[in-house]
Parts: sequence; C-alpha cells; structure tokens
Amino acid sequence: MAHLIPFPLILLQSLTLLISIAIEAIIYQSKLNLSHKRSVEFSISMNLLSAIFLWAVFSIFLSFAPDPIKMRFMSYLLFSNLYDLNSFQANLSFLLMFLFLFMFVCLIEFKGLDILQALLLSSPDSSDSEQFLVNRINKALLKTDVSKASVIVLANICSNSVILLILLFKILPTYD
Amino acid sequence: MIKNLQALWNNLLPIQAYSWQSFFWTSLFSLVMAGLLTPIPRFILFCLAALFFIISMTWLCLKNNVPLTPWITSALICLALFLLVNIPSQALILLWLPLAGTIAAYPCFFDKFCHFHAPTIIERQKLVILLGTQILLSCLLQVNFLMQNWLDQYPSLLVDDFSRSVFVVKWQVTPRIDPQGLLLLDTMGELLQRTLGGKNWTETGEWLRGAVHPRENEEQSDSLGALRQEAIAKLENRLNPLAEYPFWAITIQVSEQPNLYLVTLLADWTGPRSERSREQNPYLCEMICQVEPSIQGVSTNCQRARRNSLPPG
Repeated sequence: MAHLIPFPLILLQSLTLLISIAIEAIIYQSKLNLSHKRSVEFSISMNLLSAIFLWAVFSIFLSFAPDPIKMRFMSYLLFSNLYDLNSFQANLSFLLMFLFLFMFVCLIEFKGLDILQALLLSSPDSSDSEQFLVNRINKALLKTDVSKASVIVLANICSNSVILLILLFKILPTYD
Repeated sequence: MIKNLQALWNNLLPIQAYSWQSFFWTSLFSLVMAGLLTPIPRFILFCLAALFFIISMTWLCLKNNVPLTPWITSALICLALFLLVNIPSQALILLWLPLAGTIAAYPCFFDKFCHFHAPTIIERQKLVILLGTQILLSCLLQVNFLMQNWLDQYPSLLVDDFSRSVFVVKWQVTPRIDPQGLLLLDTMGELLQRTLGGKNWTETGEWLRGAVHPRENEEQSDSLGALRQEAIAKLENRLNPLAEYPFWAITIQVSEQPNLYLVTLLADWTGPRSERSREQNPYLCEMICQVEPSIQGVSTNCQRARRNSLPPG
C-alpha cells in the first residue's frame, strides 16, 4: 500500500502566495496610496482570491477535459513531464498556459480589488448602508479604471517573475 | 474512578433549563425514542438527536472557551451528515473547512439574540481573509483527493520512481508494490492454456505464428490482441474496472524447438511515466509458458508472471 501526498505542492503554493503577497503589497502601497496595513490586507485578499479561482478552474477543467489532456495534466503533476508530447510542443503549451494564467489572474485581481475597495473602504454616508453597498459593488463591477489596471498588471509582472525564477530553480534539476 | 464518574454525572445534570446539558439529554432522549419507532419517524428523530448533540457540544466548547470551536462544530456537522445522509466522505472533508469558516463568521453578522447587523469594516476584511484561507485549504485537499482518484484508476503508477517529482512525495507502507501487468499476464496465461488446449499441434503452431506476426496472416484476426481483450474483460468482471488496462501493451516472443514452443509474454506500460523509469523499467512484467504436444493434444505450462528489471529488448 502506498499513497501520493502533494506536500511539495502545498509548500510551493504557500511559498508563491507569500512572495506575491509581499511584492504586490509594496506596489499597491506605493502606487495606489494605501496605508501599509491596508495594502498588505488587500494583497492577501487578492492573492487568496486568484489562487482559489485558479484551483476552481483547474478542477472544473479537469472534470470536463478529454482523456488525452487529463493524462498530460496527470503526467505533469506526478512526474513533471508531459506525456506524449515532444519538447517543443511541451514548451509551447507551457508558454500558452502561463500567458493564459497570467491574464486570468490579472483580470480576477483587478475586479477583486474593485469589489474589495467597494466593500471595505468606509463610505461617508453611513445611513442606508446596505443599499449603498450593493450599489457600490455594482459600480465596481462595471467601471474600468485604467490606471488601477496598470498597477495590478505591474504588480503581477513583478511577483510572477520572481515566482517563475524560483520555480525554474526548483524544476531545472529535474531535467537530466 | 468513582469520584471522577460522580463529577462527570454532576456536570451532566442540567442546572437550569437553558443550558447545554438540557440539549445533551434531549439528544439522548431522541436517540432512545428513535429506537422504538418505524423507519421514517426514526430518521427524523435521529436528525433531531444529531442537531441537539451538535448544539450542546458547541455550547459546551463556547462556555469553556475551547479554541477552534467552529472547526469542531463543523466536523460534528459533517460527521452527522455522513452518518445520516450518507454523503461521500470526500465531499464532506472538502465541506469541513469552508463550513467552519462560515460558522466562525456567524458572530460578525448576528448578535446574542440572533439580530442581524452588518459587519464592521475591520470585520469584513478579516472575514474575507478567513473564508479565503479556508476555501484555499479546501482546494488543496481537493488536489489530494484528485491524486488519490488517479491512483485508484491507475494503481500501477505507484511502482514508478517519484524521487524527482516536483509536486508529490510517495508514502509507501508496504515494502513491495506490484503493477497490474502481473495480474493481466497471469490471466492471459490461464486463457492461453484454455485456448491452446482445444487445438492440435499444427493449429497451435499456426495460432502462435499469428500471434507473433498478426499482419502477415490477414485471414486470421490478431489472436494476441483478442486474448488481451478477453483477459481485460475477465479482470474487469472479477475486480473493479480500471482505466489503466488500455495502457498495457502486450508483446509475445516464441522460440521454436523440436516438439516444444517457449512462449514469452511481456507486458509493458505505455502511459505516463517518469524519465527515470525509462532506464530501469519498473513496469515491465514477463511470463514464460512452455507449450508441448501431449496425449490429450497440447499441454501448456505457464510460470507465474514476474517483474522484469531489464529494459525491453
């Protein structure tokens, strides 16, 4: 009897979360004029939100994906290689997947930050606050603030670059 | 001992009607009464007993300021759902942490008298982080279950080398794990004995040649492939159907000697595998059968299939 325990995966997830929380908090603080505490709180919330969305999308995708794609995910998670693909195809799929994930995370964090600001920043009008909260969330979902979006893209570029570097150090020794 | 029991009894006696002990005794009473009833009222009383028990235990924990009370309550709710409604345990383990987070959030929304109030801004931020961490932990548990489900479907993967895996570690309890290829070869051996038992020596030679070179003999079907399919069907009838069987490739080698065929069946894994397993193939299994003419026709003696650590030839 034997089991496979995704302990390194959990450690890696915690490490990437900690790194991106720290880096993004610094950028939010300097670019969005937030207080030190609030920027860390926002960064924690954003990163948790995007990680949850990524795992949810991964689970849903795997339940609908055709068998060959499932086998490739299985092969990558268990053996760190892509089953039945040559190295060019494998690298191309990594690149495409990374770009997709990056854009997805940016989108989630952008809308997440808008909603979180609507939810958490104190409103001057405290009466009828619930009605006001719903209105604020609706407004946050619909409006697009270009400068805020650029801050989030910048924060993600910085944090993802560092994470990629660390992942490379982790994954490189597995290539013979 | 008697003093301890007496102290426990004194603790369990309700001092007033509005106390955790009352709920505890009500749950016990419901449980006893449930035993006397027909199925449907019994189920309702079991549910009530579970509800009262959960309320009483939560109350007890809150009264004594036990840390992680919401997690204990959530675990009790999940246990009750498992015992009463028979929801799969994996789903309940995934539910446990988010439910605990929701229970922990309860005081932010309701006061002592169950009156709703909106959480303050500081509370809202804490709630977002609390629920976020709980759901993320649940997601990671889900990944663990996903891997266990893969192993249920592809148990032979456990013979592989995981020392270079980036994401998982192997925790092995038993010293030896056998690939499913062994079982497949053993079943094929039994079927081979049965198939060749009904043939004469000339037909046996033709069958074996057809198995080695299926394309050269167009009129006959692929006899080895048919044997493999039959063995898989037999295994699937006997055990749980596994998704890994199509990934086992079977090859046959026949060496012809005077009045004797030495048949070697090899099973190799064509599914996902580690780079290291290509050098020292832990999946490769082999079985040697001796086919010779006898008074009844043809006799086939197969050894038990065994692991072969040599690379495929």
